[in-house]
This record gives sequence, structure tokens and C-alpha cells, in this order.
Amino acid sequence: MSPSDRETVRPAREGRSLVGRDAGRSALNAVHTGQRRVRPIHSGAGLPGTLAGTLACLLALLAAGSAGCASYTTRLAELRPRVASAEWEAALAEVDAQGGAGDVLYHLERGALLHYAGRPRESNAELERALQRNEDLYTISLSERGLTFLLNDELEDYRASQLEVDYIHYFRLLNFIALAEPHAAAVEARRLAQRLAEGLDRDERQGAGDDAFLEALAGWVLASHGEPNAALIAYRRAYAAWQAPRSACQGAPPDWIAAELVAAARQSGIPLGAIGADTLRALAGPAAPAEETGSILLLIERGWTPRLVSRHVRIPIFVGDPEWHGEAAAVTAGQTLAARYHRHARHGRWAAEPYEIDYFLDVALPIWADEPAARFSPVTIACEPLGVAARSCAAASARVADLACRARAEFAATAPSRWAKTIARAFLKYAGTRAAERHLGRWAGVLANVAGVASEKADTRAWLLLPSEVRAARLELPAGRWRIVVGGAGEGGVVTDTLDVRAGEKSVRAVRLFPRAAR
Amino acid sequence: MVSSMGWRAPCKGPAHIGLALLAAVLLVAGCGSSKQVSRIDPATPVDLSGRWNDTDSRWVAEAIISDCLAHSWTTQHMQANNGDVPVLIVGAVRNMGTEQIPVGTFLADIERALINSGRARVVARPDEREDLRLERADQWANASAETVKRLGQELGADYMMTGTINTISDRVEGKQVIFYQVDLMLMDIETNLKVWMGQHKIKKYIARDRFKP
Repeated sequence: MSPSDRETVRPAREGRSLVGRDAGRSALNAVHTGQRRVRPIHSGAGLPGTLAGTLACLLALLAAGSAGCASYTTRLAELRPRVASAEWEAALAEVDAQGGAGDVLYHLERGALLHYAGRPRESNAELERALQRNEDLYTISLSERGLTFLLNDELEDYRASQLEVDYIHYFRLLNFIALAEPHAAAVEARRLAQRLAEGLDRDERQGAGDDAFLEALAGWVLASHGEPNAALIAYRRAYAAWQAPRSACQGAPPDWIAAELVAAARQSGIPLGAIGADTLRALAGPAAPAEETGSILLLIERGWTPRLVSRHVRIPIFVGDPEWHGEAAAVTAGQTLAARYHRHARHGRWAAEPYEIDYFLDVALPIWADEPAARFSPVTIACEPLGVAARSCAAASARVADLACRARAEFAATAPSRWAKTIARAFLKYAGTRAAERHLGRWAGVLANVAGVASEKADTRAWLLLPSEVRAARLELPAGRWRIVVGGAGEGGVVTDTLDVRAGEKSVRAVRLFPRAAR
Repeated sequence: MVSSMGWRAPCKGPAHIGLALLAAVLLVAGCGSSKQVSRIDPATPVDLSGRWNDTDSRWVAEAIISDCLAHSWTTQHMQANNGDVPVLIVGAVRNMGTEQIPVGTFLADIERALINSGRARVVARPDEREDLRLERADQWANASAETVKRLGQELGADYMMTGTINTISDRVEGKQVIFYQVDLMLMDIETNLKVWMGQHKIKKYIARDRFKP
């Protein structure tokens, strides 16, 4: 190769972009940049020029048409604001326009939407479909996966993350409670507890740790269903998870968990000493008189989980890079280039040694949206008696689940392999473009490049309607009708709920505080 | 492959990857699913997901009721009641497992098996009785004297059948074993005496392939 064969750009300073501009580059710009790097070879052999051009044109059109341009979060950009504004039908229409039956994410979004819209039975049907479909997706389609190496990751069916599957059961459980079907709620609680136990036994929960809150919720529902022994097991697991968290997302145990654990042990006839929980007796405090009061576990959902967005980055191929021969070597190329990208992100330079850039690969990577971490103001909870001879009360809540943290942790566990794959795909497209150009002609190369760029998009799919966090408060209220007022400054005012408290009974009530700035 | 131009291509054949891309895109564009619908005999067992289904419900109901009616309590009841067959009410069957099972369908299968055996009579469940009582009350207000049905003529059940469904599931990777245990019991409503207890078990092994073409 002679220096005149290509326009070599030598870096004047490390870390400086040498070709074009990083931001806002269109597909055509990318093609143009690509053409600048290599002198085109005219198609003298192989397919006739016209046929080659037609072929490449077809490729470009099909790729552009089949892959679409916008990422998932962009396509559903209005979903969160609509849900926050209670525009249920518009939100449903938006989801329906983007997905269809059989798509896990479609059923997840519809399930959450219908839950918040107060349609629990329909919500449960959608969430059950999501669960079943997700189970079916245990079997990986090799043809689909192959396509993801050529076009983009969205061509493969979406599989729900551990966090998402956990919260399918959460929403279903709340739906059964709203439907006044305590037996079905208890079944769902057992199902949730079993799922959590299975995951922990096999250490499958990448980056997630165990979810103490969901264990505790399962325990509460089972206790309310008259299954103190099953509740005790769930509470113990929850308490252990809070005491010795396996992830940074777990937080501190709420003060009521000790009291619930002690009560469940007492009802099961199991001495606390026998389960090594003697110390909890002091933490639990005196038991409330069950004949006069009822217990309500008030759950307050806030915020949204962080959004993944697509970021176009450009990663250089150096003149001195190894010659990655064959498709298998693209994986190696992907890993090498991913490491190069990470180095640049950390140190602001592409390599430790002096380098000469041959080409910039355009890659669309899924990253977290550059949004400030949610800062929530304190939540106020007031209880007002309605025809009950009792005083008004106030309660404090504690954060029991940090879904945003879990989502980030789960993504962090898989991001390196996802990014390496994305970069390997970009490398394959780059190589394909060059092959088309060399054998079919310049315009074939141009169109193959258009196809490659048009079909490339980051996989930003994730359940958009999950809350950022769940807070919980245990209310011990005299039997009768109560109005519960939950307020969070900066979160669209207050939510008022009326509930009937029955002596000696436990119940669950969930309220949703939607963020004002929903996007 | 290194071309004379010096750039590196991982493919070995001419326009190899370009054609692969084309084939891939054609696949995507043309992979619309074709739906097929065919009618099958409702009695034909069809296992798709491995979960509790209509076949399980029907088979368990038939097996357990057959066992129930084969025991001596029926004969003893008829001897003590001038040959009258016992009157049963099907009470609650609680799902204590980890799978949402449509218990209503199972109760209907049990009632059907009891009635079709001819060896027991079944009275309406509480939710069904309310409709009948409303209808009788309406008849007394609106029906002709010749056709109006009498009040206070309901048949009291001799026995109540209750039970539980339990599930044990074990799963590793793509393999799963689900075990269902259905326990039913029959109690004399007047004396609280348990006159029969029956059990039926189902064990299923479900295997999923990790990959498909």
C-alpha cells in the first residue's frame, strides 16, 4: 500500500477527532466520510455495473425500510408524559402503534399502563402474556441472532430483564389485590417468592442482587392470607437480604420488617431463638392490638427508571491494527475496538502509543440518557378518619426498592458484551461495504454503506413504565373508613385514596406519584 | 483479506458480506408469520407450555371422582336413606400452589363428573343459588299461579366436597419439573365427619431447547 492509495490522516494531538465532526452526522455524511478514506475501485470484474448498482440499491432500500431509524425510546418518547397526565387512551394508542401481540415489551408496557389506568384484569392478562412469551424466548433463534450481527439488535425478540420479570409479579400481585381476589394474590406472592428463590439459588441475577422488598411484599400478602409460615420464610429472606445486601441497590431495612417477622414467627408457633432471631424482639416493639386495628402496607411509587438512548460514537481503526480476517475475527475486532472506546471514554485518548488513523467506524451504542439522578423531595402521608372516632395521623415512609439502581446494575453487567457485539457488527458492515465497493463498483459501496448506516441503531429497549423507586409505610389504623393523602412536592400534587380498614386484617395499597417533568 | 488498497476485509469471497446483508434483509422483509387455524377434538390432549390446562383439569376431576364414588360411603349412605343417592355440594377448592389455576373450571369438571356418574346428586353452589332465588322471587311477583315455583323447597346437601391444589416446581436452565397434587375430601355436613379423602398427582417434565434454527 502506498501513501497515495488513501488519504491518511495523522493525528496532530492524541484524542482529537481527525475526520469530520462527531455529533449530528447523518447517514449520507457517514457515506461521504467513508468514501474519503479509500479510493474507489471501479467494477471491472464480477457483476455488471448496472446489476451491481441495482443490487446495492435494493439492499439499501430494504435495509432502510426494514430497520427503521428511531430507537425504541425515541419512538415512545411521548409515553411517559401521557401516562403522567392520565391520557390512557393516547398512551395505549402509542404503544399499540409500536408493537404487537407476541412482543414481550409490548405486553409489558400495556400491562403497566392498564394497571395505572385502573383496569387490573386486562393488565394481568397482558402481564401474563409477557411472562409466557418471555419463557418461550428461552430458546434462542439462531437465524434472528444471526441477523443481529448483520443489521441491528432490535431484530431479535426482546427478553425481559431480571428486574422486569420481578416487577411483572409485583404489578400482577397489586392487580389481584385491586380485584379483591386474595387467593389469586396469594398464589402470585408464592410465585414471586419462588422466582426470587430460584434466581438466588442459581446466582442468575446478574448485577441485581436479591430484592428484599419483593420478598417482604410476598411475606406480607401471605401473612394476610393466613399463611404465617410461608410469610415467615419470606420475611426472613427479606431481612437477611437487607442485613447483608448482595448489591448496592438494596438500602436499609424498614423499621416494620422486624415486627412483621416476629409476628409471623409467633403465629407459626416457632420460637425466635430457634431461627436465630432473638435480637429482633427488641426491634419489633409491642404488638398492635389486632382486635381493634388493621395494618396497611402503603406503597408509594415515584419517578421513572432511567432511559436508554442511542449515542453515535466513532471509533478509529488504526493503520497498524491487525488484519482481522474472516467473520469470526470480527468478534475479536469488536472486543479490541470496544476496549479502545472505553479507553477513550476514561482517558481521553484512543491509544497509549502513537497511532495513525485509517478509518472511523460509526457505531450506535445504547447508553443511559444524560439525565440528572432523580432527587425526590420528602413524601408526606396523612391519614384522616371518615366517620371513625379516631385522630388524624401522619406517617413516614422509607425507600424499600431502588429500581433505577437495579436497572443500571443489570445493564452494567451486560454492557461490555453488548457493546463489543455492536462494534463487531459495525466492523462487519464496514468490511462488507468495502467488499461491495471493490467487487461491484463505487456506487455499490456507497449504497452498501447507506444500508449499513441506515440499519444500524442502538438497542434501547427496556420497560419504560417502571418506577424509579418504591417507598413503603406501615399504617396501623383503627377499624373503619380512612382517607389517605400522599404528597410529594414537585410530583404533580397529592394522591388521595380511601380505604376501609378491618380489625385484625392486613392489606396493601399502592399509589403512584408521577414526575412533573416526565420525559 | 487485504486488498491492494490496504484495507482489511474479513470476508473471503467477492461481495460475500454484501450478499449476506441482502439475504438477511430479504429475510426480515419477508418473514411475516402465516397463521393457521384448525379445529381439534376438545378431548384431545394438547400440551404446549406444560402448565395446568384443560386436559389436566378434566382428567383429575374424572379420576378423583371415580375414586370417590367407588368407596363404601355411598353404599352406606344409600342403606341409611332408603336407597336415595347422596346429595353433594362442591365447596371451595383452594389453590395453594405457585401457578394461577382457573379453579372455577376445575369445580365445573368435578360437578360434571359427579352428575354424569348417576351415583350422586349435586346442588347449586352459593353464587349460583342467589340467581335461582332471585328468579323464584321474581316468579312470585310476575309468573302465573299455575307455573310459579314454590319457595322453601331447596334440597339440602348431605355432604360438602372441599380441597386444595398444591404445586411444586423445580427448574434448572431449560429443564423443569412441575408436580401437582390435588387433595379432595368429603365431609358430612350434619356431623362434620370426613367420609372420604382422595388424592391425585400429576408430574410433568418440560424441556426447552436452548437454540432453534
